[in-house]
Amino acid sequence: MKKSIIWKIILIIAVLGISLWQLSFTWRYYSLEREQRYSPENMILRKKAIHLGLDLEGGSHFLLVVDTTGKGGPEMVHQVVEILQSRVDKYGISEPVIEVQGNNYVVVELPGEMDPSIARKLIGTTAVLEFRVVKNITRLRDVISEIDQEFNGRFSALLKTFPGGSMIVCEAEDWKYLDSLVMLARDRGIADSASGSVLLWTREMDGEDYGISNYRELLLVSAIPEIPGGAISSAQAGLGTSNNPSEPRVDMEIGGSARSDWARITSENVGERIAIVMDNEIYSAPSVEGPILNGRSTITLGKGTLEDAKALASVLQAGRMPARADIEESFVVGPSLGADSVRGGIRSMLIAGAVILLFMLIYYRASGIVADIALVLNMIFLLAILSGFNLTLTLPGMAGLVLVIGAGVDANVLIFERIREELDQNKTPKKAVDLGFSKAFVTILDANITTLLAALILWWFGTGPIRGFAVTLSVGLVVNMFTAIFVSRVFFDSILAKPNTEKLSI
Amino acid sequence: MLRIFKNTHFDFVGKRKIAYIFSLVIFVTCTLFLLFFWNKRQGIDFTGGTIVRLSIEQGDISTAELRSTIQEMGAGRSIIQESRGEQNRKGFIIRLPLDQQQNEISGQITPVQQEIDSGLVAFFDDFSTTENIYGIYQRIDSGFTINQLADTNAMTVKGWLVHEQDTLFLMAGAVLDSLIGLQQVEMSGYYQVVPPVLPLDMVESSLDSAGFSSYLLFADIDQSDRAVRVLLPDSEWNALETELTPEVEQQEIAQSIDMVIKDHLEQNYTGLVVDIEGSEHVGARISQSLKWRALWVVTLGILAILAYISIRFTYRFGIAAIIALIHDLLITAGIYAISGFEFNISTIAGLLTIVGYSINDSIVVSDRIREVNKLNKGKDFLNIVNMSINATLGRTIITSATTLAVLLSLFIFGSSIIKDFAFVLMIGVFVGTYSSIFVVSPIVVDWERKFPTPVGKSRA
Repeated sequence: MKKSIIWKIILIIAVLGISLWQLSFTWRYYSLEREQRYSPENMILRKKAIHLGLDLEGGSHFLLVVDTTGKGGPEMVHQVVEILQSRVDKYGISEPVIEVQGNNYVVVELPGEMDPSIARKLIGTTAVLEFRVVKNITRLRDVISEIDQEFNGRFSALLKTFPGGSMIVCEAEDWKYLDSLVMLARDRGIADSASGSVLLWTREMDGEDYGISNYRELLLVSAIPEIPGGAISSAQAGLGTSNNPSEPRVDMEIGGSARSDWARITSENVGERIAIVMDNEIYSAPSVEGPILNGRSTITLGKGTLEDAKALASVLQAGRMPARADIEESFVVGPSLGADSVRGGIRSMLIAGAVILLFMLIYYRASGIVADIALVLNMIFLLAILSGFNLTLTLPGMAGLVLVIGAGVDANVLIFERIREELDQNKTPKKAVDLGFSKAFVTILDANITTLLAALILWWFGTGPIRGFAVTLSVGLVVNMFTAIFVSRVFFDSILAKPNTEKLSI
Repeated sequence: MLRIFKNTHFDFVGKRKIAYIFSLVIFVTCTLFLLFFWNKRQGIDFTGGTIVRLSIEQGDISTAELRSTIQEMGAGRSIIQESRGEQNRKGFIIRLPLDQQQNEISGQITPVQQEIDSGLVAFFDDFSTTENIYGIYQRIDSGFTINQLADTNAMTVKGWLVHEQDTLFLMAGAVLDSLIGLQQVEMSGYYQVVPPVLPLDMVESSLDSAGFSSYLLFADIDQSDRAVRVLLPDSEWNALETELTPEVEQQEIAQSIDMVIKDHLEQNYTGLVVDIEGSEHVGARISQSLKWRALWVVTLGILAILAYISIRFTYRFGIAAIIALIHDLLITAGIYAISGFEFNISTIAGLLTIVGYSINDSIVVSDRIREVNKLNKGKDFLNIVNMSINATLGRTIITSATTLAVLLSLFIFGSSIIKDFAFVLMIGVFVGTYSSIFVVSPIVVDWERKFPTPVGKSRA
């Protein structure tokens, strides 16, 4: 056997090995019970497995249209995104997708969330924004020990202090439990409204700097909002502060009668923090550097990015002008409907596959085996690429897979029919295979490119599920050309490697 | 060697007159059908509307019963279709057109309102005889939307009116906070109704002191969410009710239409448990823009392929292929529509795939014509074309058959959305195969006959 063939075989085996290794994650992940799939220890596995679209996995998809015709203008879209993000976050939905589309659309995808009224819960209310003074940390500690007494120390057991004791935080996964303790304590008169100050959490923050996962900070704030969000007359993000010319900042102006309140609060609380509270969750709690008498305040973001500053500005705008969003398009797929689709897809794939494999075997005999191997490899490579490149498999995508099985043999059929023609003209098997492959090549290329063109246009035009179809179809076509032209060829070459092969079973 | 076609010598092109007439008749029929019935065959992606898929978990309901229930709710023009739900349970697909929903909404508000009113009366009747009514456990299964009311009535209640499916109630946290004199409204978000249950005697005394003469209290507990409900009698209720804008009400109901249907059915038929498997909603704006995009994408697909073919072959093949393509698309869409299927985005995706595949067959034949033509210069073009079609016939039939086989499997075993898609493709593959033999090649031959290619130039 020629050296070049051996190298090609090694290459094919290597690609197959990598593909199977890649697919092993998918296998392991989908062998898990549904409940276990979202647990944190399976996070890495989940990322490596084939990603199912909402229509297969179950979940909710919404397209919101934001009213940008009012005074708020295009900024409203970002405000809606910020509010949605904070609310989805609070809801504990894993891996939500919230994206701006076009000028005034926001796409929300919530995997695994089946409650049909969730959208109403997310956008049904206007966000409540307010400012509250953060109480001193010693008072916070007092309240924590009070709660501890009530619950036998279970509260502080899960709290962490850093850095140097200036912040009291909890890890994101402990938050729900701790928050319910806060509620119960409030019920029993600890840090309730009557006491003048209440406990509130910040939103989830990235804890990388402190060596922990996401966290929330616990703060004791005044029970009565100092200033309502409606008092904000403008909020804008920008770059450059007195300390650092590239530090992001937000300029905020308090207007009207609240201006004197703002002056009083900032004067009384120099060095303390003021919490920006949205929907009873602290969005951010900057410190007061000095009294602000004219209502014009600058919030510096330290290590934050300009994006963070823009997000904060959007949130502050929410106090000024609540955005209006309507649901323009939605679909909710229950887990059973999705699982049903997956089952149906897999069943039709297996049956279609079996029929094709059998047909090729009967019609082309030994060469049929080559086509069958090529077809199976085609599927393995295609699925491996989907999982390796984090492409999403949707319901139409599954249809694409089935279509690739059917059309996948086309290239092989073209080649085999050509080889038969050449054999009819009494050419040697080697010559016939050579000519068959080279003559069919151009046709295969032409035919696949036109379909690929259609698939690419579909990808460009389509959204969500339809894109999934375009993706599987185009990847399938490319992989198909590789297996039919390269892999099959190597098989034929190794079959014909023996000198003077006189017959070819085709 | 097993062969379906070996050395065939069918005179395909010779029969082109029959093929032309046949194609023309079907093409015209399909086009006319599409022109006249297009409006009736548009799915919700293009018309806007809502689709609710539900299955019957317990009990039974017939299509007629379901239809009359939906009609009672005010949505007369809805389409109800029986289907197979999960675990082979009986299921239904309900389609509500967008314009219909408006009527349905206005029809919906009245019964709900009456229910609340009569419910309140019944509650208060009970109240007079029961000593200790509070603490009624009632699960909140679904969420509620909260609309802020400012200084609503004479008592200047600053609070939230909560609309939860079919009950309207004042949210205790808000009401009480203002009544008790607390400024803070303890409400974290929309789904979680905090505060934790307030001492009910405190609620009671504050309501009394605020001048409410009759009311009803009960606690709701839903997992971690706790709230106190305060129900007010009609007189006091009505004062609040006027503040509800009709627009808000419409929205609430329109968006939870699936839950409204579920509740309505379960209330009307005892023992019936309905499971909402999924729902889809498309608004007017999106459906309008989708129409244009669908037209765009198919046109763009055709143009891209015309460009490619013209580069690879002579422009005659390009024109012939495009004629075949339009022939395929309209016939496919026509047969699809005549069969009673609806056009949706997935149908358009199917049609665009047909654009790719139908041309595929034409290319294989054309490629062969080009090749045979090179080897047989000077021979009659008709014979060359016939030879080429016969030479590729085996491949054409096998590929079409395998593709049709997988599509059939998809059509039989796939879920409902995929069925539509598989059906478009099945027709398309069939028509595409036909047209590559009976449309593209004859056009090229007739073109050559009418306007022979100058000597020295390639005929293919």
